[in-house]
Amino acid sequence: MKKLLLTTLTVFAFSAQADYLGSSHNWNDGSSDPFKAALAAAESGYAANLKAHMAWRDTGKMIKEAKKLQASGNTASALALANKAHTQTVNAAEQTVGASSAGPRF
Amino acid sequence: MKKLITAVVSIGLMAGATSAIADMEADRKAFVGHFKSIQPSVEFADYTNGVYAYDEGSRGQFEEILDGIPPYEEAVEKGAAEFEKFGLAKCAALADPAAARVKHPYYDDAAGTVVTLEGTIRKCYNEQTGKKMGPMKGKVARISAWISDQAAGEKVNVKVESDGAKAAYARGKATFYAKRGQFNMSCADCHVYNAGKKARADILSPALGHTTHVPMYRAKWGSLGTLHRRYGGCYKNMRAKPLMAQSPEYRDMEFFHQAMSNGLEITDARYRK
Amino acid sequence: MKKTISSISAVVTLATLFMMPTQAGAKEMTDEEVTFGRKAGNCLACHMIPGGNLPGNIGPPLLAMKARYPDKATLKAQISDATVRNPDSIMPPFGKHGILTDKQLDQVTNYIYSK
Repeated sequence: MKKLLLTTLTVFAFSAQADYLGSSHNWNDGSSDPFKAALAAAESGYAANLKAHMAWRDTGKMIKEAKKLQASGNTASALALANKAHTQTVNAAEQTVGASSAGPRF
Repeated sequence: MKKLITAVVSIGLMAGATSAIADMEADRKAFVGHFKSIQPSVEFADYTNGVYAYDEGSRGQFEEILDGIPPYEEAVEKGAAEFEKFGLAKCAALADPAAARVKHPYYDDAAGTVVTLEGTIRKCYNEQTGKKMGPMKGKVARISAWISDQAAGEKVNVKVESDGAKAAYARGKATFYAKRGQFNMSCADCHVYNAGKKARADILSPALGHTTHVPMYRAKWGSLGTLHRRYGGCYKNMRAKPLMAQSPEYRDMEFFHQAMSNGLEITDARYRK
Repeated sequence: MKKTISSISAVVTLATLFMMPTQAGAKEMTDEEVTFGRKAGNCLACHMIPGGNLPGNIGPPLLAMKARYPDKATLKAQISDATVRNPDSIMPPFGKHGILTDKQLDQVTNYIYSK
């Protein structure tokens, strides 16, 4: 509830500063396609990392932050962050390969 | 070097005869051998003292702290009172505290899972009080520390016998050796291959002996914490997402981790930097 | 306004002094700050570097880098992902894993290369 209020207020604050119609339109539309795609890739990658117990510390936070940025109309930063989160999940997936058979070097 | 090879080979031959425990025991001998090779002057038994086996300077401070009133003494006494108050002795698994510390962690074939001392304490607490107990600090750490104190001087003696136990051990071992997180480091990268080296001014503690003094008191925490609390901290430092304390994965890793310290004395000297 | 002008001139002066990339912004970290900073390169955690306090000794001392890496790009590649040469390396892949930005990698490379 608190979060919702906060998000609403943030969105409102941004809309008030910028062209009201413009940013609310952006927000109501959800997102542009590149962001949607990047977010979906990050989220599914993260879910797989979690399942393998190999997730990185900040990926979840980055996904949340990217959504917030998108909601507030900051689409360029949102897209960049979603892509960054996705890259993290790709690297974590790479670590997952062979992790279950890792052993000592002696 | 030749000696080491001979030792390894003869262990290998011995292991063949008792295949049920072969994997773990061979691993443990190799593990101990590794530490012997990187720190030839440190005696096996001294690994009970963890990082203080490596560094004279910090060992002096450690002994001074133990000579006075250790900062965790009050907490451990409170743990004793809590053990009593919550009626934990009524649970068969904890009725003999010293035996309980030595028995855990073990593999429960019926349940198909590793059972840790903290797991047993939490289960018993729930049975006796109907309430839940956290897995990382506070009550669980105090009570576990007091129980472990009762076994001071006895030796870590983890048994890996059944097929299920061996599978859990193998999973725990892989977790320990797998690189993870944004920093791409494994537990072993620091605490096996680079034990005794310095990260900034901190000496990396040897994994051999890590579990002799758990739960530990860390100056950084200012309190007692369980082994799984420490796992979580290490994961975070490597920028990996910590797993839940007492998750199956951490229990499996503890199973492996404790087994590597088999033969070392359990100690009540819980202070760590 | 006056403040802005003076801070801009300070940045410009600093940039010229340290030959750092002349991108605007007072928060710009110097090559040394990126190399030593605990939340940046934190190279001292593992390496001795002349001029750095309380170094670790997990990795080799960072000395005579020009002799060890005649090609500067090789040094940058090593910092970016040490696991290419040695998959077991304990060194975090600073570039590949996005711990440092490409620009920060250049800064660290420059700083280390001068040692």
